[in-house]
Order: sequence, then C-alpha cells, then structure tokens
Amino acid sequence: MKTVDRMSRGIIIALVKAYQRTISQMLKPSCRFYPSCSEYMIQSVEKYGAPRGVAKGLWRILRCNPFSKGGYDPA
Amino acid sequence: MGSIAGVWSTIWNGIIAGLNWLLQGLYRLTGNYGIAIILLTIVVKLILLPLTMKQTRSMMAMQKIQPEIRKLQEKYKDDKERLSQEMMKFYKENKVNPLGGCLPLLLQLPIFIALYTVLRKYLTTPPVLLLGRIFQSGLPNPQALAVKGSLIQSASFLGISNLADTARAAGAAGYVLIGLLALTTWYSQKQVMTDPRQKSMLYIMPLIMAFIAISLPSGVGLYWLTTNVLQILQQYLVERYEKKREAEEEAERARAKKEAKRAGRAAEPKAALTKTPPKTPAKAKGAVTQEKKGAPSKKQVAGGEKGARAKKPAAGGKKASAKKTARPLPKQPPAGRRRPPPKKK
Repeated sequence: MKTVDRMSRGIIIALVKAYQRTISQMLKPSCRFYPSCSEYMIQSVEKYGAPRGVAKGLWRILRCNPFSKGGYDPA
Repeated sequence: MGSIAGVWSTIWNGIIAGLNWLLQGLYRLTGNYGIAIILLTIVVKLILLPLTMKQTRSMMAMQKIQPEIRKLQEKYKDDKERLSQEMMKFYKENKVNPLGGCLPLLLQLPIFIALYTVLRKYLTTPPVLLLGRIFQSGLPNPQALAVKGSLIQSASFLGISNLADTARAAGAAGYVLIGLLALTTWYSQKQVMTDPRQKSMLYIMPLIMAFIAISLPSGVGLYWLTTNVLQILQQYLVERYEKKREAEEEAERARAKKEAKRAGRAAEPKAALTKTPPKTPAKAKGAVTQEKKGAPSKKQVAGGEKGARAKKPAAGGKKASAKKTARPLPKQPPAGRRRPPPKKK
C-alpha cells in the first residue's frame, strides 16, 4: 500500500512537472493564485497523497476563473 | 481507476458528439463547412463571453495601476518568489487580477482538441477516404464522382480546397491563413500588453501558433483565426465603451457644475450662502489646483453682491478652464440647489 501511495504521488508529480516544463511555457501566465495551480497540485499531492491531492488540485483549477478573487492560497 | 477513466471518456465523447452535432447542424444550415466553423466559433465564444468579458475588464483596470506594479517589480526584482507573492497581495488589495485564471484557458483546450477530432473524424476521413477508394478502384462511377466533388466543395473555403487538410497541404491559401493567424495573435496580444518584459512573448507566441497550426487541419486554423478576430473585436469594443463612459462621466461632472452655477446666479442671496461650502470640503488632490484658481473669485461673490455681478463673467471663464484639471468634484450639489431645472433627458 505504501509503495502504491508513493508511486502514484511520484507519477502525478512527474506529470505535472512535465506539464510545467513544456505546455505551461507556451501559454501565457494566467493563474490568479499564488502558488499557481500546477504548483498547488504538486504541493497538495505531496501533502495529502495522490487521490485527495488531485481532487484538491482539480478543485483549485475550477476555482481559478475570472469570478474568483485569486491571491495567496497555499495547499 | 477504470471507472474514472470510463467517466472521462464518456464526458469526452459527449463533448465531441455535441460539437459534431453543432457543426453538422450549422453545415446543413449554411452548406459550407468554412462558414459552419466560423459560426461554431462564434457560438463557443458567446458561451465563454461572461468569462472573457470579466477578464477584459480586469485587464483594463490593470493597465491603470501599471506604474505601481512596475515599482513592485523594481523592488523585488532579485526575488521572483517574493515578487509574485507581493503582486498577488497587491492585486487583492486593489481588487483587480489581470489573469483570467487557469479554467478559461483549460476550457478552450478541450474545445480545440474536440474540433480537431471532429474535423479529422467526421468531416473528411469517412467520405473522402471512402470515395477516394471508390475512385482508385477504377470504378468510373459518375455518381460517386459527383458526390465526391460536392463534398469536397462544401469543405472548401476561400481557396482552401479541403478544410480537413493541413494548412501546409492547402498551398498558398493555407499559408495566407497561417500568416493571418500569426498576425492576429500578435495584435490581440499587443492590445492587452501591459508589461514590457513580456515583449518577447509578443513575437514568440505568433510563431508558436503558426508552427503548430501549419500541421493541423486548416479548419482548426480557421477556428483559431476566428477566435482571434473575435477577441480583438471584443477588446476594441470594450475599450471604446469604457472610454466613452469615462468621457460621459467627465461631461456629466462638468454639466453638473455648470448647472449649479446657473442655479446660483438665478438665486443670488442663496448662492452666497451655498457656494462656499462645496469648496471647503474638497480635499481631493485634483481639487487643490482648482481651489487656488477658483477660491478668490468665490470670496468676491460672497463679499458684495453688486461687485460679484460685474465680475462674474470673468470668473466663469476662468472656471471653465480649470474644469478639466479639477475632476474630483463633490458629486451631489449642495442642498440649496438640489434640483436643477428638469430640462435634460
């Protein structure tokens, strides 16, 4: 169970980091929050594990729209 | 895990089916896939309009506070982490945020990919490939030829013979499309650029867009181009509207002032009483210059009614020139002349 947990964390963080290094570079910076959504995803996966961390990260992306205030919002 | 993937693929297929349904419906309506794609873009843009409008507004607010942001950047230029934190704080304090957020960006992505899929899958591959095979199999079926001809014709648009072909394959018209795409990308970015540090982005983005679009179906490029054009148009209209509103507010203030003066002249004793109060509480920065110019004449007005009458035209002229510099006038006229003559409207 522990290895599953660690592996899933590693995979997701690697995926997000790959995104940050490739796709994110091409898009203009657009996140309303600090840390950015992708960074938040990494932090929350590190903090809560893959399932909950991803859920929190996705929720953050949903919140990250022009109707939200944005600002400082740590994982 | 499997069920999650299943849910996602269901959603994804739903998006594609919906988009395809819309595209085919628009095609049946117009008889041309090019026009159908443009209409589809407009529909998508309308759906996203509340989000983008909000974003446009905050971008404009952003341009106004740019100097202060530059100060912040200067202050924390060695510490990027700190800078973005401070910026976020600053945005929150000023209730602006220049960034649209991740959601609008990510929302456009599936639409884009789905359109790509639709163009690949439904617009061309089955009929054209199928007919192509009939054609190649040496069956000189005039009917099949006619069908093929009409299908390709309906997928041709402004010199691009088939919107499902890549822009590269579409020849000159494809390159024109790519060129326009790069140009509109550049311009729509330039419209909203506030930070000079982003200047390199201004040129890099169009190149990236062109580079990607050249190997996508030209229909996708057309979608992209239309999006850009609509974005530029929206930005232009909002900007014009805002400017007009600002000018109107200015005019409103000027008119209120004039009105107040006229009312004051009509009832002079009252004017002497009420004219001084609005001046004294004007603490706003802009009003200082006005106070310097306007105050002496005011005293004369309050001092002697006879003398004031003679001097009034001159004072009025002076005031008119001061009007522009002194914007933050107290909004409501003092109690004495609350109701200006109801002739406007």
